[in-house]
Amino acid sequence: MTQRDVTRPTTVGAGVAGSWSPLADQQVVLEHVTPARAAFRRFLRHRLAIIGVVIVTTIILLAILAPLLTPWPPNKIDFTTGSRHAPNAAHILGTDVSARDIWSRVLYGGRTSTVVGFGAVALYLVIGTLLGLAAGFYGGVVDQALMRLTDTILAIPPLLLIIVFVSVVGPSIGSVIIVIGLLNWGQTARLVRGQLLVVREAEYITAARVIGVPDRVILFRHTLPNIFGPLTVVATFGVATAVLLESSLSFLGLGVRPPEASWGNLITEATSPVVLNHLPWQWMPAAAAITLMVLGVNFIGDGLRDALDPRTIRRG
Amino acid sequence: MGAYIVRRILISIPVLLGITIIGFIALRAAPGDPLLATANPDVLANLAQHPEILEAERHALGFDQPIFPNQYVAWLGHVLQGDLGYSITSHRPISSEIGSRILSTLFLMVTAMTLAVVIGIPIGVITAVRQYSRVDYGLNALAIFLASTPVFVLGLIAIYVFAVNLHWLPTSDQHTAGKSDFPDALYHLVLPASVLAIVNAAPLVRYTRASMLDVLSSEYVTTARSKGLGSRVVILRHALRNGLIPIITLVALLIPELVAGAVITEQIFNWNGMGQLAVHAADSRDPSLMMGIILIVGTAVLFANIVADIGYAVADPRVRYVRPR
Repeated sequence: MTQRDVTRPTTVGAGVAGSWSPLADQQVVLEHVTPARAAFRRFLRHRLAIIGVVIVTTIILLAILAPLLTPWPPNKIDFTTGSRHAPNAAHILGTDVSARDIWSRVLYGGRTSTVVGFGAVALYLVIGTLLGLAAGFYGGVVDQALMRLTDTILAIPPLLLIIVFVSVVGPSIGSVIIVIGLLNWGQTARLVRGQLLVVREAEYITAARVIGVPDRVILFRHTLPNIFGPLTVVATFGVATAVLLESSLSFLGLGVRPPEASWGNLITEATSPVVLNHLPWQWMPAAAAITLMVLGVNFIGDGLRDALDPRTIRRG
Repeated sequence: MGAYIVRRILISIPVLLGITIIGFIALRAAPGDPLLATANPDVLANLAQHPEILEAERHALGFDQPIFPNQYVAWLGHVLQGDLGYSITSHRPISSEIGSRILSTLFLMVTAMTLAVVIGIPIGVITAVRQYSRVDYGLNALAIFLASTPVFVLGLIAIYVFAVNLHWLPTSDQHTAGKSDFPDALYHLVLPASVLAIVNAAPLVRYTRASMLDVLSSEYVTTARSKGLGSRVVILRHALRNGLIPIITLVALLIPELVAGAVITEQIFNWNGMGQLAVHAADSRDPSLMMGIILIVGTAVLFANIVADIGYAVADPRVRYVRPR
C-alpha cells in the first residue's frame, strides 16, 4: 500500500495506521476515486444501511406529510366516535382516551421525535466541536479544564441529569432539545480533541503554518474537514440515542407533555392496566414507530461506520 | 498496584465534585424562590405582608448568598457530616428516604447486570466463533433489534405477554400483599430484572463479538491452532482469556445505561427504588432530594468504574504502568 492510496479514508488519520480494513486494500486499483466517493460506494453496498435509509426516510416523510395523510388534526376530539374506540374505517388505529385519532397522533408524534432527534444532536455537535477544538488547539490549562469537565459530563448517567434539568426548566419540546443537547456533547468533544491532536502533527498543517495561514483558517478549513467522517458516525448514533431519550422522558411525563403528541407520551397510556391488557392498538403503533426509527438510524450508523472504518469510534 | 488504586480514587474525587456542582447550580438557579418551596403556602401568604420576616428567613437559610461557591460549600459541609437535608414534600430526612430504597434498587440492578453478563458474553463468543454463519446473523440481528427497543416498550411487552396473557408472573410491585418472604420477592424480581438484563445484554453481545474477533485473528491463536489443539481448547483456554479483558471496561461503561434503564423499569413495575424516587423528586420539584440522589448515584457509578479499572489492571498488568507523556 502506497502513501498515495487515495481510497483510504483520510479521517482515519495516523492514530490507527496499519489497521484499516482489508476492504480498502482491495480497492487500491481505484486510484482516482476520492475517499468520500469510495466511502459512499461502500455505504451503498451495506444492505442493512440501505434498509435503514428506507425506514428513516419513510418515517420522516410520513411526519412531514402528516396533514395530507389523515383528515384528523392530532388534538381534534371526535365526540361522535367517543373515547378509546377500536380501529374502524374513520379511525384506522382507533381513538385514544380523549377521543383523538391515534393514527394522526402517531404521525404528529413522528414530527416531535424527528425534531428532537436532529435538533438535540445539531446542538451538541456544535458545542462538542467548539469545546473539542478549543481543548486540542490551546492545550495546557484550557485542555485540562475542558477534559475534566468532559469526564464529569460523561460520568453522569444521562437520563438522571436530564431529569434534573427538565424538572428545573419545565417539560416541553424546546427544553428537551436544549437539555439533551447541553448534556451529551462529551463524546463529540473528546473525539474532536483526539483527532485534532493527531491532525495537528501532520505535515500539511506545519506547511500551512509556515506560509502564515491564520489559526482560525487552519482550524476550520484544514482540520475540521478531517474529522467529518467520525463526527457523522457519532451524530448518527446520537440521533438514535436522542430519540430514545425523548421518548423515555415523555413516557415518564417529564418530556413532551399532552396534548402535544409524542411517541413516548402515547405509550404512557399503556401504564393503565385497561389499556395494556385490552386495548393494544392504543400503544403498540407508537411502540413500533420508536423501535423502527431507532433501528433504522442504528442501521445507517453501522453502515457509515463500516464505510468510513474509523476504528477509533465505539458506540457510546 | 496500591499506588494505582490510590491514583484512580484521587482522580474520581474532582469528577464527583463536578457532578454535584453542576447539579447544585442547575437546581438552585431554577426559577422560583427556594424559600417558597420550604414552607406551607398558606403560611407564606400570610407572611407576604411582612417581607422583613421572609428576608430574615432567607438569610437564615443562606439563600441570599451566592449559589457558588457559598451555598454549595455550605451544602457540601453538611453532606460531609452525613446531613443530606430534608425532603420538602415528605418532610423526612433525605438519608432515610434514600436509605429505605437503595437496597431494592441494588437488588434489581445487580441481578440484572449479572443476568446480562451471563446471557450476553456467551452469545457474543458464539457469534464470533461462528462469524458470518446463520447463527451469527440471527443473534446479531436480534441484538441490534433489542438495543433499539426502548426499555419501557420491552417492559410493557413483557408484562403484556408473561403477566397479562400467560399469567406466569406478577405485573408489578415487589411483594404480594401481606407476604414478605424471599421466594415471593424473587418471583416479583424475575420480570423487571429480565427486562433490564436483556436491554443491557444486547450491547454486550456486540462488544464481546468484536473483541473475540480481534483475538481470534491474532497470531498466537493461529499458532495454537496450527500445533493441533482442538478448537474448543483454543477458544476457551487461549482466545477467551484475552478476549474478555476489554469486556471488563465495557461492563463498567454500561453502568450509566443500567441506571437509566433502572429508572424506567422501576417506574413500569412499580418498583419502590431510587429510580422511582428520582422521578418523584423531579415531578414534585424537590431540589434537596434531587441533590441527594445525584450524590449517591454519582458515587455509585464512579465506584463501579474504579472497581472495573482495578479489575482491568489485575487482568492486564500493562495498564498499571503510567505512560510517560
